[in-house]
Amino acid sequence: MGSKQLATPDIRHGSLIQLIESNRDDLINSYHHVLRETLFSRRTTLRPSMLKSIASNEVDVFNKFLSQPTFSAFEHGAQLYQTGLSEQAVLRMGQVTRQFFLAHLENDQIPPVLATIDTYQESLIQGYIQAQEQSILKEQELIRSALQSAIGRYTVEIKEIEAMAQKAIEANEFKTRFIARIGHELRTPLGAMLGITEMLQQGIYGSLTREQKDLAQRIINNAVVLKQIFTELLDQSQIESGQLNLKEEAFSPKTVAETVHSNYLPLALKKGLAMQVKVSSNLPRKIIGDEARIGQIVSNLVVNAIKFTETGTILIHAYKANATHWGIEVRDTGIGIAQEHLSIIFEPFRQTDETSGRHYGGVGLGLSIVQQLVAAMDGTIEVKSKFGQGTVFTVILPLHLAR
Amino acid sequence: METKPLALVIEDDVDQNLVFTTALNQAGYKTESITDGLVAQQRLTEVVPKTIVLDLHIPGVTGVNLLRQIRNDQRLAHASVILATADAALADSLHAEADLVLLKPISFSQLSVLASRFIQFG
Repeated sequence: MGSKQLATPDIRHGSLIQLIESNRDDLINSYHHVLRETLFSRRTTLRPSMLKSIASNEVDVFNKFLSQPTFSAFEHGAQLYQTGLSEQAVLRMGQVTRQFFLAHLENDQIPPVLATIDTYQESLIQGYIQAQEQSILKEQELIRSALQSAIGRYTVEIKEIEAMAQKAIEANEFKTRFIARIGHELRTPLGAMLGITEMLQQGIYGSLTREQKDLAQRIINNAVVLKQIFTELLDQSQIESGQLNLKEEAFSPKTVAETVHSNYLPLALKKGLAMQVKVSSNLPRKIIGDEARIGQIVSNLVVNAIKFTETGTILIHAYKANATHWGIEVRDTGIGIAQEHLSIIFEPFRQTDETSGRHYGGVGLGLSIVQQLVAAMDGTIEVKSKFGQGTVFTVILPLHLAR
Repeated sequence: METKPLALVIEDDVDQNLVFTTALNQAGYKTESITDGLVAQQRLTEVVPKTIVLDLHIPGVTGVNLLRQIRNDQRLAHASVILATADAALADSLHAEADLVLLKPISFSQLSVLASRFIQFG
């Protein structure tokens, strides 16, 4: 039994097969052992439970190689690669085969048998490597085509997004131009209406009765409201299109506060409201800024306060906030703003109660314009209010002293 | 009898022109209404108005060009120009070249009062 029975060095001799068959379990166990040691060196679907059958298959294939002179291990190498075995595992199985024969053969038998093993191993490894190369090429091809199709898809998507963005930009620009154009076109007939009504009222075409004068005044009042709306629309479109050019000129903040007060006092009195103006003595007499725009900010806040106050007082207060800033506060005793609405009051075309458009009038641009003007002046605006308890708007602006 | 100073009212909107003309009549001017830019261009070479009310958007010639023509004409050195426009940005940019810039809609009585000052003080 064993190596002693091997009489000739005929490498494809049945005695070699016999030697393997009689030590089959040992050999399978040796293969299995090295396979377990070298299991995962690349990503694989190979499961540990498959290792035993790979080991036993290795014995069968080697036997087949020994018994069939035309058999090549090339295909077998490719299959081992497909199975998911690592290169290291394949090489280690080759070593096991060598050690097995070194242990079981006589010295003179060893060289030809090793040469046979080499032949087997060589074609097996070639098969393995070729399968590996093909797999890598295939993988690269897959990645490339996946990349290409992704790039293609994204290119289309980017173009679509760009087209959409362009449309949105154009729509917004159109809106701005449209508002500017309409506001502009409406001013001329409005001017004619106002002027002609004033002419009638002044008796240039014959004197009017008291009632006729009153009706003429109502036309004028309505035209003035329209004029205010156009002005707000134009301001909004000017701010949106970035055409707002703020002046930097010396002016008196006291005069601004007092002018707004005297301009809107009649409106407040008509509603039965008191209105006061207070200018703190620590506020410098002359500061640098855009007087008209600051007047507009205060006017809008005051108009808003009058609009939403039924009884009580409106207070305009200008003061020095600290070394670098000054403030204007407009305080009312009106209906106040519910907490959940505080965040939307500065949005254009919004009124907290959408039905309030009917009750209070206006297009909902006043506060939006205020906020944008304040921001353009590097200032801040803050609102404190509780529903039913009045509102305080505080505008803080950088203090630039006039020389 | 004292002759009234002449005012040209250059404004293409006939209703608006009527309002301006009436306001200037009331202020003490003899007025001439013009609704076309080319006519205005020609007329400005023929007469020497005391005051010119100029709409910046008129057909034929741009209001800005008419303003330049007036300012470059030695004969018109003493004429006062009242710009009437609905374009706030344009109005802002022309402040230095005009005697008065009014933003439409313009009040009849305001224009009348302001225009009369040019007779008194201008």
